[in-house]
Amino acid sequence: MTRDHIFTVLKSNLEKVVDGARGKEVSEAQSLLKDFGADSLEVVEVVSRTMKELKLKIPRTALSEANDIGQLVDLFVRAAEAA
Amino acid sequence: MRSTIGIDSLALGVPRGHLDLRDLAAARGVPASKYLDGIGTHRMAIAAADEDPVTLAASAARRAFALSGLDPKEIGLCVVGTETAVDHSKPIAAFLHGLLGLPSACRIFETKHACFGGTAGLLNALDWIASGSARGRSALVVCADVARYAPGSPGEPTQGAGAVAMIVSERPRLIELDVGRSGAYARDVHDFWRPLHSKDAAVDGQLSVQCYLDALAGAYGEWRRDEPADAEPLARTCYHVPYGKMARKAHRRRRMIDGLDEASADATFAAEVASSLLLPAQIGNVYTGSLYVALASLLHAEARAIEGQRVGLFSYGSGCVAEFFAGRVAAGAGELVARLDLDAPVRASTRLTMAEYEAIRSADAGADRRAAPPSAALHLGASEQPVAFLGVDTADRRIYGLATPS
Repeated sequence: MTRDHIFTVLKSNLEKVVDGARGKEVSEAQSLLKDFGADSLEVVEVVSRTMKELKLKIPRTALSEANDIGQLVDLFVRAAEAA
Repeated sequence: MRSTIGIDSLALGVPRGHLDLRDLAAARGVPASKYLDGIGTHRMAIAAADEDPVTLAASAARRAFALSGLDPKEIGLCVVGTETAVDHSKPIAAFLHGLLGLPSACRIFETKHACFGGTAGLLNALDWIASGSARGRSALVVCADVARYAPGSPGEPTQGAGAVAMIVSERPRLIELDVGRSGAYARDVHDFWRPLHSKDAAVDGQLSVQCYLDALAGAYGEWRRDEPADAEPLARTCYHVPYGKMARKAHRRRRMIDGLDEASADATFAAEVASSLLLPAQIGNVYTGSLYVALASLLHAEARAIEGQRVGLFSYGSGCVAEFFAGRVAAGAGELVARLDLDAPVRASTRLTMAEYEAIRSADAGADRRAAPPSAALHLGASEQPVAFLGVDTADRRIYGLATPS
């Protein structure tokens, strides 16, 4: 599973769930909360949809440590390596 | 035939003032729709310096007694659920005991488990009656909280304050609850906490959302396992409502556990949940009381139409514990609900300006050390007049008395 693939899946779920992300450029340096106005519920939904789609699990307590989309992708990369 | 047990009367108590979230949005420079539609809250009740969980609880309980015609002398158990206690040792139930004139032969205590405290009280009251310990008496269960987050923090638009008083007895006139039929779930997590030195709560929002949904799946799964295959479906379900949108997502999760796909699950929201979110959207988060404000909202909107039908209830407390249980709206509940005028305290509250709100919040830090006027003495016994927190005496005892007209 490549990093690009994880990013693409995450990005498509972001666009599905968060109104503020529709039609906008998405980069790894951005934050779901600050740049797209997502709330906690939406972040959890984006992540759980991505986990389901990629068949990966990331620890629930790790989520708040990811400050931007790149760090979120890192969590999935680590989960894929461990799988 | 075994007698039914459940909630016989219910009433709300809310602060005098509320903040309109459009005013907060304007002050914080965010679009109002982020709060109104995004979070699903329109107003949040704000407790002033002389309003606290004791005064809110007293106000709710008095309404519950007065409007239902019950006598405080018939109470043998009084439990107050709260996560914003006013003393490390003395429970709110003791203050209430005095203010309401409850009998001396009465078990009273306070329960804490984040937003679950009131449910702990309610389910224990149910078991107290079912076991025979009540000996014909009723229980008073009150959920009372002031939900505060630091100004400017992400939690700020999810504050609120209020109390819900419920009288639990045999042959209840509002809702009969299923005894011994709840599904529980617990797990040690740190999703929401309030350090001993702080009046403001701390929250890991994303973790808390996940824990809430996991706990719902666990508790509902447990409850569902014991449902007979031909059981009558739940006509409505009330959820713990930290903010409206959480309940919406919770309902989707629960109905997907039932086997519906996402779109079909969402399609049931309007009929099964929406009416329970009307009052919560006018009060905000009441922590322990939030599920029961939702129940009040449902009954206020629809009691007459859903008499005899089943209602599911989901309570969640961070930390965490959850319980899913159910009941049946009693025959004749519609008539009693009309008399209880459940939303009257909400209608009577007035809109604060941002300046008034900010003045209240900046006075919070000193609220527990404010000196009561030297002439103030504890007022004991029942009275129809509102009770106020007047301050503390020289030994730090909290003094409650009649609110002086301003």
